Amino acid sequence: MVLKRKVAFVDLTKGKVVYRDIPKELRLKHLGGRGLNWYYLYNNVPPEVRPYDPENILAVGAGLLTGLPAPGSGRTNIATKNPMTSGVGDSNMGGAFSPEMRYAGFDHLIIRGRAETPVYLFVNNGEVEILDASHLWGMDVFDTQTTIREEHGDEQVESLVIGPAGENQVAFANVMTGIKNAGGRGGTGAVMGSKNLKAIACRGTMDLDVHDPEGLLEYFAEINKRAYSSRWAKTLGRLGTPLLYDVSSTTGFIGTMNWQYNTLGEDGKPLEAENLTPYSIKMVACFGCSVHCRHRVKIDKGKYAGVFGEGPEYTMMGTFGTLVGCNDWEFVIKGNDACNRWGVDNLSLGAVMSWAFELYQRGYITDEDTGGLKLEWGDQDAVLELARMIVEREGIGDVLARGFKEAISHFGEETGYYAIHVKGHPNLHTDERGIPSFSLGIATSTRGADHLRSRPAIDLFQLPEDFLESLYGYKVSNDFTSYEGKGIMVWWHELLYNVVDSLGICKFQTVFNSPTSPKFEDYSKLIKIATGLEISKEDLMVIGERNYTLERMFNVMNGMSRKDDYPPERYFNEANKRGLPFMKGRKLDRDKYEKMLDDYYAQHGWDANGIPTEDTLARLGIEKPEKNFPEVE
Amino acid sequence: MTDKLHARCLNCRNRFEVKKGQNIAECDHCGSKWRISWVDPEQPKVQGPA
Repeated sequence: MVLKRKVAFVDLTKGKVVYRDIPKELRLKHLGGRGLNWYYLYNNVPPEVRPYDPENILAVGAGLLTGLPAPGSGRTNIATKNPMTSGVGDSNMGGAFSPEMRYAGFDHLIIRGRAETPVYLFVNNGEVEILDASHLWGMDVFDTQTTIREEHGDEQVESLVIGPAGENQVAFANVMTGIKNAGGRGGTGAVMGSKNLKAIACRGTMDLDVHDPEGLLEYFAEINKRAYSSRWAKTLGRLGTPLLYDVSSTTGFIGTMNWQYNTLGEDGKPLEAENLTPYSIKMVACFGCSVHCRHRVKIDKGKYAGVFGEGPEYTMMGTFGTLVGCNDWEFVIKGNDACNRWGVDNLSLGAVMSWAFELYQRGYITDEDTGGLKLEWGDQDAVLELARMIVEREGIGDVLARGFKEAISHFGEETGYYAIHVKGHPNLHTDERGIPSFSLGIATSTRGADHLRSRPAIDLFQLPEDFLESLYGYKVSNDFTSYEGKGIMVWWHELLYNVVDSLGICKFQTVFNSPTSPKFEDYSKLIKIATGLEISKEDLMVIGERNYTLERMFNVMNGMSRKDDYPPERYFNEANKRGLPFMKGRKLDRDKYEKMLDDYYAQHGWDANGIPTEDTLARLGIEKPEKNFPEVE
Repeated sequence: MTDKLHARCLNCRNRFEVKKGQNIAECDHCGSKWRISWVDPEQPKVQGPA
């Protein structure tokens, strides 16, 4: 049955693999995916282990519902110690890798050590082989996957791979699968590169036995219809995530020219989501998804003629758009293709590059630093060249590739003010300073600045407060410029997104941008039908809290506390210069932010310094770390 | 099917009426004027300011 999938402990230094069952009590405590990955990280990576040390672990996890009829159930979670923050590094990606890993008999791969020469793993029907990858080293993301499939003579092999960015240990390198599915954020690709691990390939034909197959199909049909019929899902299936641009650009919460502005305004019209349509061949989807939120695009003529790819997502519209003062869809498509081939996190790349552009504008960086490259806003060639230099670690690119913390040390502490990050982790190009709940979310996210750990996107909809009270279980304000109740909102979404990541379900099919999408109670029923496990809505919320607190404890063990839970200083000091009248002039209020942070800690049962109390740890059953990576001989 | 369809105003966040096929519409709550695009014939969406 579903619960019979195993965990493989891989020691690359010794070239050995050990297999273990996953005890049922661990499932009941952590589910799978992100939750179980962090159970293994928390217990086996002590603070003295640095991100690129062989003793660091790279954990790959399938969710409890991955590969089954469940909404968007193709997600893979990857966890490691983050090279940018020295805390939580965590990626979640779509595609079809994890379902294949389950069909090959495994739910988790816990990988440590460093191979002497490049290797890749081949996971096939209950076995994990360590194979030579010398011939793959140096290949980009696409060629690596194609070559592996050719070598195994099987088009259904699914692979997680790194590209040049991971090989070169660019701190924000991705693990990738397919044309554009990115295990981005958290530097997982860089850690994979540090282990000389080029790829993990999977092929399996083992059945996933379901507890109640007919019941699962019936309930999936019902829940899927609900997820798919929302306004959000319909728009997503038509325009992809670029749909977010129209609202963020018009309202004025999109980082522009390194967050000096909060929209391109009229100049940004060419980037409206509808203007991508002429380049779109069709919409495509990940495993198990009926939304189809991803464009497949092609440019037929002009400077970038011949570029073909998938996406671009909304994130790319910052990296090669607003953040660097560009407003050309064809350039965004070109940049998207380059990032996907390199295997680099475009969100982090955008934040780091736009910071360099502003430092150049202000004179902190000169032509001498850049080797003559003029970092002038809107210059497409300069943007693409700087990106290449970062991936290839050439000149100034080598400094920027180390991430914000090291780069700030290099250019001077004063330059840190202009770096838009939290805990050393670069932000998405959203400008959250006018939206307190979003600001709190990026500030407290365990992997550093990020929008996918807790963002209550429905806060923007001004939903009736009685509805919000029934959803969150507490009174919260429905005014997205208010601070009232927003600590609770962020807490609730942290729990939900953790459960979703631990089940292997896509966030776009939960209460992220649509209030009617599936949530805890629906997952409780799905789990019962699929696995036979009885886990109530309340149990799921406790599991989400336990998993999130475990991540928090990993950060605490690595020296983090309240001091690390603040949005960029710029958000407190500089008001929005553009946007709709109610957004213009808005910035964060420091006193109100502190109160909101207090509320958030109290809701979690953490003390005033953001440390989980002994009572909270006892309530959640979190014990002191105890190594359980089996001895491999 | 009704001809009365609605989009969300980005200024006041209320839903306002949009007639089928309309390219520009005005929010009847706050008076903001918006360019409208169509996800499908039954679902209008604000694209940007008119």
